[in-house]
Amino acid sequence: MIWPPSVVLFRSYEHGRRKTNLWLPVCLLWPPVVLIALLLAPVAVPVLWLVAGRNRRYQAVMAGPVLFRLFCALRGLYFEAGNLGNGIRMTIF
Amino acid sequence: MSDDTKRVLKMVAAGKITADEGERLLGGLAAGQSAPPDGKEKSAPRFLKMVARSIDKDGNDEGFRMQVPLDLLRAGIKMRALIPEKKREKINEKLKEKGIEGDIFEMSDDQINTLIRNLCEIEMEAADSSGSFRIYLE
Repeated sequence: MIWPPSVVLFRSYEHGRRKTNLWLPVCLLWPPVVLIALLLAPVAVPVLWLVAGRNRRYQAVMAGPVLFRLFCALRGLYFEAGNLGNGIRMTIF
Repeated sequence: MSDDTKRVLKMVAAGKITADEGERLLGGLAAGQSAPPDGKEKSAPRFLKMVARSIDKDGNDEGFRMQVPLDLLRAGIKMRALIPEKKREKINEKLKEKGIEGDIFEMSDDQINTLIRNLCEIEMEAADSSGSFRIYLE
């Protein structure tokens, strides 16, 4: 089962002290996003199918699921930069 | 003899890769096709990790550490579905010119997983007096 990121943690440090500690609960966005996607899908998919050129129909319809999978794969991304006591850290859970 | 094995042997015969590289590739293929004799499955790496450190003139140490989930690589490969047919043909032609045979857009999930599993043996490290850099899979 593939799940989208649920929390983004952003921290910054200055002189060894935590300056910013931001927990972004992006999971709160998913229920409304899923609802909107379900409501729009019956209209959006046929419209994309018709609007896209004959050679690009498959790509137009598949773009949503493929990009969603890419977005879900961001879980576990971790980045840290700086020197002793100063720096930033970002984690996607 | 499987097609993959034949392909590796042809590459060795053509001089595209050395015998040692061929042996490593064959070992990787065997690992992907069957479980090791001790019965333990070789665990697949989950993250690509990069660590860099530098030391400036004043002796201050700074750097970065990054961990990229390999699922991102898998998802990136899946993006091939968005590449139009004509572009795919062009990409395959260019790869063929570089000596990479076959259709990379027809890779199955198993092949992608085998490729990633075998990547765990790759590790890159460089260091000098001003800093160090390391890329590895874990």
